[in-house]
Amino acid sequence: MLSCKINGEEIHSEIPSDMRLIDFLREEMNLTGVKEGCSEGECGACTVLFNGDPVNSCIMLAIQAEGAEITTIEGIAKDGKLSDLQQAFIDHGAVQCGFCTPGMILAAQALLDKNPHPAEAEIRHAISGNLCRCTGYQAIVDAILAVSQRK
Amino acid sequence: MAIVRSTEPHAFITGLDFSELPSDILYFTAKDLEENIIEDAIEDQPVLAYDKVRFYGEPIAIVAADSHQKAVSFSQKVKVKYQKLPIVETPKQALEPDAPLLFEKGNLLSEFHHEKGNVTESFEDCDLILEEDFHLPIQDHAYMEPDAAFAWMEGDVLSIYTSTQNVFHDQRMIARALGIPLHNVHVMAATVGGGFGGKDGHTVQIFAALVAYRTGRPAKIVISRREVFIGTYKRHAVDLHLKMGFQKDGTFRALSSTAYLDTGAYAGLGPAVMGLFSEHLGGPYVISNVKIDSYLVYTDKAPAHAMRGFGAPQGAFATESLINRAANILQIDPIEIRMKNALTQGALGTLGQKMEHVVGLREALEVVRDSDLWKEKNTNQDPSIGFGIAAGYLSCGLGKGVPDSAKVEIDREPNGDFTVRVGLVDIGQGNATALAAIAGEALKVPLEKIHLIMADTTQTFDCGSTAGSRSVFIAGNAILAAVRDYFSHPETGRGFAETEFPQSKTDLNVIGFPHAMYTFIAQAVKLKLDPISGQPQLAGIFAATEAGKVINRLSMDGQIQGGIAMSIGYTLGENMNYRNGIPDNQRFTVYILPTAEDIPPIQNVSVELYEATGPYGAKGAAEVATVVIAPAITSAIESIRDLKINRLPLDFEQILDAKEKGSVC
Ligand code: FES
Ligand code: FES
Repeated sequence: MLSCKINGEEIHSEIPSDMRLIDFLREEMNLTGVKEGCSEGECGACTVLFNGDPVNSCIMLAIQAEGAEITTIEGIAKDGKLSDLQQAFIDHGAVQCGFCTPGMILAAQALLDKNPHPAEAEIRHAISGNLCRCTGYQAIVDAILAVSQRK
Repeated sequence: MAIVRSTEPHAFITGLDFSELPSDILYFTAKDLEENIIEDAIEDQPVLAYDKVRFYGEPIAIVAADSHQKAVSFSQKVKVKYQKLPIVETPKQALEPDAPLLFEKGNLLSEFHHEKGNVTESFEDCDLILEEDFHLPIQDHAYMEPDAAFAWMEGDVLSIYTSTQNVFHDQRMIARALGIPLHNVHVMAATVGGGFGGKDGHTVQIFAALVAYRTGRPAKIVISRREVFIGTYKRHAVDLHLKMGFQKDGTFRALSSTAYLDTGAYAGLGPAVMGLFSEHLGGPYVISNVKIDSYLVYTDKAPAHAMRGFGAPQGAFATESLINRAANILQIDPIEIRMKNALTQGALGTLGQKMEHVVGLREALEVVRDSDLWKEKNTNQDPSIGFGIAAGYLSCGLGKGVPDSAKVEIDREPNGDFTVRVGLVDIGQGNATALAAIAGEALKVPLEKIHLIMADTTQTFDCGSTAGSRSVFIAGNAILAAVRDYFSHPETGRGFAETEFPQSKTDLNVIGFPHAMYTFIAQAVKLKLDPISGQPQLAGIFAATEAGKVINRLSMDGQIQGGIAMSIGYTLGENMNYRNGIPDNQRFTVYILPTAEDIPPIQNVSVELYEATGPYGAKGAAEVATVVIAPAITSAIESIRDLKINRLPLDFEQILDAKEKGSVC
């Protein structure tokens, strides 16, 4: 039995012990904003927040989430309103195909939660575990910078 | 679902043994297909290999189960018996008289020869001749979303979501492979997680369709990243010898090239890639004497195919490198030498094709010259910092003689909104945004009132592929024409139009080229060479792009930045590197994509010239940014260390260890 909090909601679920966290989130919880690009911790598409820290859910077992608080992209918008980061990604054209976007936003959110005014180099470092093949990262960095400067 | 793939690069299949599969695990082979062929321009590739495999990772059989994990584990229990054959590793080896053959017809798939002016004589008149051998590696598209499809049956109709660049091509290839009528195949593009040319053909569509059709049950396939690396299309590796002759004043007088393009085991869009390679090889310059010989050759590797830039980056690397070296030797500013030879509207390109449309190369070069990044070159005192520039161009559209049109329908809804039907796919580059903007502007309604339906074989008309930097241009024009049609009889509530891409008036008697229209770029790089590691640290990139009028600035800049980043990867480390027919780099841990820390700030300035035939003055822009950043980077390195970098990706150790002046890396 797994008990954890997912996007603010208490979850209790019977799961096989070898189930990966990404499969639990996608298949059992239907949170398909968690993307799978490589299955081995290299691309960051499967990033979720684990007690506020970005982790690759493809290389974690679901049972490791026992007692933890997990946030996926679906938990970022509040009351149907996009978060500042989500809106900034749209405003800066930081989304092309969108496959990397959920992971990027979560990695950026984790950074801003800890360090609300990061330098550009810190931003680039914080998202360096998240690969994007479309944007060249510039618009993503610009979007994160814009949010950090607003606050 | 799971795919049984070849573990041999070249072998006869002598037996397939499925005896270890329990009865609830289903398998499918070539025998389950009505016609075992992937429909394409050249039809040499089977959907599933049956008598012979020609590359490591080639699909042989499909295993289906009620869970993905089960299918994968039982697919490993399928035994394939092989009779190994000697492998063909490089194009040059493939053309040797006693080389093993991939196909009975021989390993040479196609060749192209072009001569203009008098090359032999003109080289004799040159003040400076440079010639070198260049090598360009195999690059993977590395779209973030692995290939996927989901198919199901409803009565006689097979419906399928695909991750694709062309739903109508998917429809044709599925119908043919399964032997069912076209109208019984309904293809819809899912939200595509990147394509870059790699999803402009067969990836996994027929596999999912086959299982759904044969079982009547829904079938889903998603391949692993390793399978993407070993089993899907690639960018062509190229070996070329390039010779260029210059006059003292910097005039490009003659160019000759012999090039071998490695198309892997199957043709894919290889012949078209060789065409664009040859067309763009000389760069966006006037060169009166040109001789181009190109060969497209089969080897035992994953098939090479379309990839963003479509053959142009390979040739541009060689040409721009020699131009930069010539500028240095002749002591002419690298921007000046390009200005002097730049194509202008009405001039003839290296194949003799007329520049029939707007040409903004000189304007782009001027913008780079005035940029802060380039001005810093004159004040920089740090010997470990270097600057480099290159210029290039890329054609828009599918080329002469290739059907290149789009049909668009517009319907007014009862609430006054408009539905716009376009048969092209948005593969993530933002054509949907641009097309909705064009429709809104033309119909004089806000964007919220435009409902775009794209890429659905039932609900839209065939508009061809999202490829060739054509989608905004061709569909934008079709939207504008459909809007005009609507306004000519608004009471019907409907507008419809079909438009054609402009074709070149030059005739070379080869299908697919030349092109009528090009997009132009000039790109400059600033970098620091790490004296310890030999690794260049990119400090900034400034790009000037002329793609006609810009419809959406954010999308435009995003295309340029993304294209540059992809070619930074090509320069710094991406390489499939086959050894004995097996690729070394099958994972992101070893096939290294650039991260946000590897890519410097990229600034793009658009030179907005008005292209009279384009929608609101636009041309195509999705690919051109990939073409010349590599030679700009290597030229910056060559300005710091006296080397000749003639191959990609960079070998940092070699750069570091090179002691002699002028060493070739
Ligand atoms: S899917 Fe988890 S890191 Fe790539
Ligand atoms: S937007 Fe496509 S991978 Fe980032």
